[in-house]
Amino acid sequence: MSRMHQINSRQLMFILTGGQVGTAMLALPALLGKAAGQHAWVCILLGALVPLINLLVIENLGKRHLGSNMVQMFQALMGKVAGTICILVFAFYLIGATTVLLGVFARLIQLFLLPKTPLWVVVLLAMMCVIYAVSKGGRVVGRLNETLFFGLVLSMFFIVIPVYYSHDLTNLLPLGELDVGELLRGAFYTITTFAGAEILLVLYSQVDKPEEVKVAAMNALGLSVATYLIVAICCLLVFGAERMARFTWPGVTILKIAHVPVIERFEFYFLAIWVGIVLRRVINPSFAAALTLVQLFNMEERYNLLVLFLGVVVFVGAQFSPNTMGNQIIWNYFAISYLSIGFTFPLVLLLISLLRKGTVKANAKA
Amino acid sequence: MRIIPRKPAPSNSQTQPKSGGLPEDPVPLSLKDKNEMLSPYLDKNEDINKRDFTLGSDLKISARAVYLNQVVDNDALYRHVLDPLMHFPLTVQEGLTPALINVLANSGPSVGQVKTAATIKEIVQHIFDGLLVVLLDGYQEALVVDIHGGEFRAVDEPPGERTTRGPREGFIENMDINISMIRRRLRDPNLVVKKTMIGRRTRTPVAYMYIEDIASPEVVNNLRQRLDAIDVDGIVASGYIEQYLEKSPWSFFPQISSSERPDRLVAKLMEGRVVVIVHGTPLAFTVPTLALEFFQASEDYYERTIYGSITRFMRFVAFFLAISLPSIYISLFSFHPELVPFKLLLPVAQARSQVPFPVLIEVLIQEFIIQLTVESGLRLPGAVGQTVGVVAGIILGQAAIAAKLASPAVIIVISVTTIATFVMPSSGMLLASRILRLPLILICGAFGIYGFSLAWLLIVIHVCSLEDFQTPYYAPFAPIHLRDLKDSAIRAPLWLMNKRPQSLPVTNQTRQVKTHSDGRSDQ
Amino acid sequence: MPKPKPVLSLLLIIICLNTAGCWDSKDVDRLAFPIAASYDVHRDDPGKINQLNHGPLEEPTVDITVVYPNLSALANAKVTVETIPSSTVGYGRDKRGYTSPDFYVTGFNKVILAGEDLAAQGLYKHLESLYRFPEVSNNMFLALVEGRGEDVLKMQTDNADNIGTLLYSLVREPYKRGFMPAVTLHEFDVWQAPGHNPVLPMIKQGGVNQVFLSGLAVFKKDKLLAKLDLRQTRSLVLLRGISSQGYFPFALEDENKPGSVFCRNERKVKVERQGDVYVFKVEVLLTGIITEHPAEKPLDVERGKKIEDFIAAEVESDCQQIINTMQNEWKTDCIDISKYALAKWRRELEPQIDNEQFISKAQIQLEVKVDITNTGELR
Repeated sequence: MSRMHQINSRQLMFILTGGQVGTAMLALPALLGKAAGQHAWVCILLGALVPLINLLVIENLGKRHLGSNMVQMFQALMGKVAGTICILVFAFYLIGATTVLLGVFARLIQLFLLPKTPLWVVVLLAMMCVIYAVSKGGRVVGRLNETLFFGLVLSMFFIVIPVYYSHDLTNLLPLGELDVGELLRGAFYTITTFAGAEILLVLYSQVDKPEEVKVAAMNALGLSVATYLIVAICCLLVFGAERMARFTWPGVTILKIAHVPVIERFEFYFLAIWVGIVLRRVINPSFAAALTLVQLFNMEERYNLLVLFLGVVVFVGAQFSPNTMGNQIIWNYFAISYLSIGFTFPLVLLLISLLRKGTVKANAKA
Repeated sequence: MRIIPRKPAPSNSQTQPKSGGLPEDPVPLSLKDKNEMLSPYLDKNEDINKRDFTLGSDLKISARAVYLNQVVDNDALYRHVLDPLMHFPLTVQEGLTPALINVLANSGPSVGQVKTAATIKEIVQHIFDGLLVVLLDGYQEALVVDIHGGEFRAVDEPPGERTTRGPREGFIENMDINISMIRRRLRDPNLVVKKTMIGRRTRTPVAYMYIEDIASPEVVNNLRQRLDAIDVDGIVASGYIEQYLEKSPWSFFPQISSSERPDRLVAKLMEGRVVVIVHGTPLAFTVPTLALEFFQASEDYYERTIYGSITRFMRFVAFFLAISLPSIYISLFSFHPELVPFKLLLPVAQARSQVPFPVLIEVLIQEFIIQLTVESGLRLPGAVGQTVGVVAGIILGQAAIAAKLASPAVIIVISVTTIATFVMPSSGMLLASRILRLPLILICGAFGIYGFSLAWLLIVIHVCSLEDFQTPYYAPFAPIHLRDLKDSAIRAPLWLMNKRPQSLPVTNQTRQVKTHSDGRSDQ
Repeated sequence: MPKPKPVLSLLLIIICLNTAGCWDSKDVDRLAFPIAASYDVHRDDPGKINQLNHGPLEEPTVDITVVYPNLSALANAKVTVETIPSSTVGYGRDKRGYTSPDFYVTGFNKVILAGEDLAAQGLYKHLESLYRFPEVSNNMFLALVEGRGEDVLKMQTDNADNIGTLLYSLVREPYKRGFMPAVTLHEFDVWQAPGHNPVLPMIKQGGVNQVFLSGLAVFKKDKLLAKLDLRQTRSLVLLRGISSQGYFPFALEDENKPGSVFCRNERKVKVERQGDVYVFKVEVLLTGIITEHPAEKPLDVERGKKIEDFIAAEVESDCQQIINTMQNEWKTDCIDISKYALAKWRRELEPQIDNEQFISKAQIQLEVKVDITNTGELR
């Protein structure tokens, strides 16, 4: 069973990036443009501090508890009952995040590709892929992330091409007029897009060489930041902060301005590749949630059944996704829940681990 | 997979797998009794020759040679077995010792393998395995002589894998000749050949070969175990065994690659794979298998790097087109016409406006017709097959357009797809692309480009999930092995491939020391 | 060997069959794809269908005319041109459902013409539905029509497939043929930002069944401000720094045989602040080759210099005129230089950059440089 979910550090890197880069990044430039004007991209660098700390904390935590999985770690540090409750909250948060992301993704697909197709059909098709991938276990999820990463690179090329057709360098200037309040507000928005780093907590015990986790996690964050920077800077160059803030999905709208012969419309091709990238954002936390629950309830043989069950839950949940007018509210809730669960839990665990170092070891021996 | 434990067969064909209830009784001494005892097994077959003769020039012992017609080499039979035996200088003393049979075996027939057999079961099986059995009057043990011969197809250019620069030798139906073709190319004493027999009734000889200090012992053991577990009454061709070995039989993708070229198999052996040769099939298959192998042709390595790389890359493009071109056509013309260039859309739309079917049905009809054409062309003899192809390709296409049953665009799309399909160098992936096309057409007919993306995503997930003989099928793409990408969508110069593929489990990684074109080497 | 899972497979097939509703399927032969559309202020004509209104919200204000090709080979006319009066542009698509037997694909359109009178009212509110509609690409070309767009679209053409394709090729890449920009929906939108103002190429009907690019329309945000003739257009294009190429005539005083030079243009802007006054240094660079020089005198270095000076002087005086008009009459930054001030003092200037005083008080120093790099095949 454990080999079914084993991944290597390179796969971990791609899983972590894949767990962060998703639909939100197409909307991100608009929020940042509104919050911080031409400094939109600075917010991304600032916002990256949160997942940076998060990853380092989890890495440290994992190093202290080598050999035990997340469930054992929670229960050893917080006690059986409190640990179990916290794990359930964590798993619930992951499932919730998946549901929200899938809902937003389905709305995006409806908007650009299939306006008349009902939401449930779009979600169901996507969910079938997600269930299939997750049911194959961590190794396959890892490999899938490796493959789909090339899709992300390709889609970044798509985003850069419009800049050739229309750009204005003055949109990025002046650089000096920084306002801390604006930057912080912008950085808060970026947290939505950086959520997903917390799945390292689940995956740490599945990596074959734990000593490589730190570098992999840092690289993953670097890749995510680079992706967001590319999108934000390209949108700024093309639209300017003021116009950018008016779009729902500036990351897609930017593609509509290129006038490339033969490839008439960029956004369709982009979205065709994008589907895989976004589903990665759904697959990774779903897998993390499934793995957490399997470890918690000790039901390795029923893994597929559990995945199917989670799939149905997410499918039903995604039906209630609000329209795009509610996106801003969703992003905010998402950021808050990430900060309070994905970010805080590992931090608290690390503190407990630091304080109770001796006790835990004694418990483990007993 | 159901594993039935069974003792592995030793290398010579003396093994006795379970066979249809032959008695293991020893045969009687007198020739007459022997004949009577064996007659229920032999007399019903009219292709069994029985030649009575007297052994020895001095002391004469009546004997009988029993063999299958046209399976033994007649020339060897007369010159090297019967003649020496008939004129064997036998004295009375010698004739009365029980060691006579050993004397005969050692200095009688002047041919390769001679051994003895004493039970009915052994004797009958040897006869049906194609060996010559000499029964002697007054001696219990019979002489068994291997003079396999008879008519075989000559070694010929492999029809399925032609090259312009490589050797022109292909496998034939005789396993031993096939093994010898590999041996002649790979003179490494570490090349191990193991033989076994599969099939209760067909008793098909199967050989597997590997290089002992390269191939992973786990893979070899695993293969042996799985070959031994096959318990079936008949194996007619190697395809049977492939199906018993495949781990995911419901997958669209071929998981065992085969070849009819000894040169290609030698290259595979040297990458650490195990080659399995089945008697009666002019093909050998190798395990473990990567998806990538189906895109590699031996020509890639014989041509210069640039040419090899371009053709390799084109094959990947062709595979993508073979699967997706019709579905892209449907997505564009039935869901997202905005994507089509203005100057292309108008003529297509005008032509389409005269066709009574929706785009999806139009594509399905044409696809069906072309699949029929391909099938009929494959089975018909060469010249007729070509004629059918031309008739279907040109005349049917033109007629369909004239009759307004199809638009010109769809004919082009389906034709290009078909051509792209046959770019694949191996039949396994070729069939996969022919089949995969259909679900893609259907899903794109319902969901356009979104369906297209999801379908490809499913394909990728599926391919990522395939794994056998400790080898991920989709390597080196996932898991990524950067070193192996040198020989993936492109083919790097041979002098750069210092190590064996990382994707395969091998015990010895080094293939060469870095050699420079001026003769220096980095030792 | 895994066992077949008939129940699961059956379930999947049933799900697939049920989901395959083909809601969005629209076969290409059942579509009407417009090539050009025009928006004009509504005018009551006897020829128009006026019975499509559902209620009081639908008092027609805008006439939407579209051109789409007829797919049937048997149709007499190559294209259908139809005008629909509607209260708004987006809502006009509703009416299209009643008049056109085919599905109308707004997103396919290539050219949008705006009538002069509509542009004077403000164009953005009419284009808003295009920006919102995901089917529409932002690289649709925009042009202003002197007069009514409807009249241009209803014109007969003998020299092109149809009026739509003719207009499309006319407005698509005019900057490669002369000093005229191509403006897309995207650019019009970006030019609504603070510190920017749009321009649109103008199209006019003339001669017998002919259309031509007649100049440039200057906008203050989305409202039409002025129409420029071709000479003024050239100056404005040079000042705005829209990279294009075209011919300049010259005639030196000692010869009365005029020649011409083919030039590409480039612009550099520097901005400084001197107290309350913003000083813009605009440098227009022209690089060209001589295409015509029928004079008797040999074309030597000295003469080349004279030609350069002549063109520079001409261009400078033309451009200065435009700058003067802009600062005194239009009081709007039509030459797109405010953005350079914004790039330095954005926080401070953003609220006031579009005020009339900003550009009228600015000091604009113009410098024109001409560089002849080649004399063609003759010396």
